[in-house]
Amino acid sequence: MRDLSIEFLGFRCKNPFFLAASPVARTGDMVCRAYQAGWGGVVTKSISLDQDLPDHGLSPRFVGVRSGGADHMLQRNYTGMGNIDFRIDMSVQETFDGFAWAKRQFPDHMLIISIKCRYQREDWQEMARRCEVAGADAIEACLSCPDSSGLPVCCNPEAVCRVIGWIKEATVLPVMVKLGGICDSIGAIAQAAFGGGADAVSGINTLKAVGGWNPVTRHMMPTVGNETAVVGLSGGMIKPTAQYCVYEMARRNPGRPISGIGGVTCGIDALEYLLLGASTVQVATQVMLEGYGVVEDLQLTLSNYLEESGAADAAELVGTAVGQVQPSTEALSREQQLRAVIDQNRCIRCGRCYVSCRDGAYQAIRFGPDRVPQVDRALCAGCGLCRIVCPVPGAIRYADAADETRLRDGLN
Amino acid sequence: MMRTEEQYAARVAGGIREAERCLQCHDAPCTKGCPAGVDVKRFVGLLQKGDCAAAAAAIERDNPLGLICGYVCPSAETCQKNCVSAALGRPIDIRALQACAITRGRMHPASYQAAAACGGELRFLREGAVEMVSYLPDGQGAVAVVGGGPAGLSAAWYLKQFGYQVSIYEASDRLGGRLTGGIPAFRLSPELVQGEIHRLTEDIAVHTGVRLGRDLTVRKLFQRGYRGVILALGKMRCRALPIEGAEAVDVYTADQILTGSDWCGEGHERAVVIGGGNVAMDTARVLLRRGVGQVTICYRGGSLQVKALPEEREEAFQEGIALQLCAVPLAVQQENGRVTGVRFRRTAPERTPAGGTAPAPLRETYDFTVPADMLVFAVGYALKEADLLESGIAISGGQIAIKERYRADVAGVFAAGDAAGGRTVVEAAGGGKAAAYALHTYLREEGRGYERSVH
Repeated sequence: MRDLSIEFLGFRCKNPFFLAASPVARTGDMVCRAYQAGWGGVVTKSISLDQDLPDHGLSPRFVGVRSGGADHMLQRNYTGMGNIDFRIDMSVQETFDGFAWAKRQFPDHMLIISIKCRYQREDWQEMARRCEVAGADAIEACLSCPDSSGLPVCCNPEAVCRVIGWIKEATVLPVMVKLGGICDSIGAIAQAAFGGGADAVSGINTLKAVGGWNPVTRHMMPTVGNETAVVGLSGGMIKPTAQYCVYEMARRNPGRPISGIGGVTCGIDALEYLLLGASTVQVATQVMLEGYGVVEDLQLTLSNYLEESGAADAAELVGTAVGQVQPSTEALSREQQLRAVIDQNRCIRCGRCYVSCRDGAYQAIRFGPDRVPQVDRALCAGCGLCRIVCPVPGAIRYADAADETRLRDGLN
Repeated sequence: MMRTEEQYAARVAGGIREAERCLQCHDAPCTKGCPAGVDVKRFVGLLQKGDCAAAAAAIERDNPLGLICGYVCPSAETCQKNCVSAALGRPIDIRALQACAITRGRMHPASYQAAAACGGELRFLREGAVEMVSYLPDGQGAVAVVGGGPAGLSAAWYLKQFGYQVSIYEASDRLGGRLTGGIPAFRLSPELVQGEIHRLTEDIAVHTGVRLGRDLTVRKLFQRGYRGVILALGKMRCRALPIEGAEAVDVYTADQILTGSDWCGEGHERAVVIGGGNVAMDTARVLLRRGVGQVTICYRGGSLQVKALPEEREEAFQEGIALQLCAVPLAVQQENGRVTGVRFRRTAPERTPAGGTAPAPLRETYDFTVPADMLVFAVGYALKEADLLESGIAISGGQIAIKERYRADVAGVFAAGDAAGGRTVVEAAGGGKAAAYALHTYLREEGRGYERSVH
């Protein structure tokens, strides 16, 4: 295994992989076990002062979300997770004590305590001081919790800066602000946050969503009584949106520390975040589904990629793909013109390419009674839809429009 | 190796996972392979999207015996035969998916009934084209179905949907035909079959113990006011080979074993079963379960000629049943009137002028004896032709002669199921459906002075 260590907010982390603020980092014991499993650092589940108010937690708090399909008894193939688990059911002091104990057990591992408060100076300052007492290496200020009827603080750059100022007055710890994907321009908000004194930004938080309807019970889920609330959506489903947000933050704030969050399920996902400008990557949903051990996959993929790419360390990879993504298609070259080519030896004659091309593209594929799909090069726009729906790797490829023999792969 | 409903429940859970492998091919070769015309692509697609009730309705409008076929269909030879996913490793297990869809679909009776009611029109294939028929109100007149096996049940159910008043005449004392007296309980749960029969015959008059030829003729049915008749008699005569000693007391035919009517299951230790089809496998496995210690299946052809489905054969092997191939029975050996063994002649596959292969007997030198204290013939079933004699129904090639579109050579009489050349439950279901549709169109076109026009 290569050395995967990376510096984040002045702390040398064993690797860039962190638990995200979520149920996977709710107690000191859980944090310790995560460190043992190999996580480079932990951002704790957000502590809020209302934990001290008498309130029983909700039940249930999670809902699995599939992209299509109505059968909720399947209990599998979830590409998303909706949650209404927005507070820790333990007193504030107990929670801090647990995290403090974990930090004492693992002084070499980074502990970022996440806090969320009302828009009140004294609340943020009290919590910030208590983080410092607990021995946190940094504070994550959660400004983007989806559990509010109005807009979260992260949508307003001035409010973001004000909160950062309040925290900074109360503590010397580095402050990372957690942003959400629902504001107008997350890149601009991040820019404002750095301007207001933030040491790092993280994002994105879960997205506001509706958990889905159960056709059997005829209730929306997760069902509490006979109603539900807006959920925070996480998991693989939100990864592309989250990566866009990280890309925007990185593009507008080159060289600034960013912690990427959203739908990491495997090492490649985590690597993508690094390439798009995050220097640490946070994971929650996948840990909820398969346990802390997933960090081994993340480490392995990163180690192999460092070896393969010849990069000296993980830091060298950070942000290297930001320049490859243009904010709009205007800048892209029109020189590349491709046509689909079907390898008839690999084709298994399912006709999926025909249906998709007919109804979703350019009617350029024929599929007759002989069941052999044929591309009409004059009609084909090289859009690539057929390749996406083809079940056989390598059966549909592209060739240059001008030169049929020049095959191109891996473009979509 | 029990294939009970409980075990199936586990397969049902895996069913959705299996459905997700389906490619939803553009021209659905699976659908073309179903003898009952089930729209396989559509129901598997509905399963993929998690709508089990709609999937169940989609199956059952095309095959009212869909659940039973979900257990016993020879799907490897029908829908799964042309499955494109085979090219990616293995075909979709369509049969299990069918049981899955219906079992799951019925878990929520409200959605299931709603889906069945909104299932749209009934689909029929006529000269290769799909024809849609709406469910019709009652009052289309009375029709009779002779035979209460799968073909008769299917025909009766469709005729009921077309608005006819349907009566089933069954020769034995219970409905089901081979479903209840042929397929053993370890392959198809009798409770499940009873449930399905009950469901299908809810609004249908059932007369058991009424046998065509003995108590009834087709002419009498028309005299009683039935506008049309469907013959689904099945093949209820079990064949035996006329070899020397075949009259001995310990010689049986397969249906005596499978229905358990003539054999109590005691007093035998070594059995020989003659035959190479699914019935031979079933018979051998039933014998084993009733305490016969050693069961040998003897078949005249080689392994390529064995007609039993590969899975049936495999399960028989796993249970310890021996298979003697290339063996033609010559004589039953007896001592004091009891069977002691069966003498066989060896065969070898030989090319036929038609281009296939057929077993040809070898010299006497290779004759051999299999020790046994009982012999069971499982060499096929035949039509009880005598039953049809008085009704004037023509027979050809051992089955009811069909003029066109399931029509027998007597006006208003149609035939389906084994009696008309079917072999499997799914063919019976498809045949019953097609015969019902043929009768319906016949009555519609003939009019017969009937005022109530159908369309």
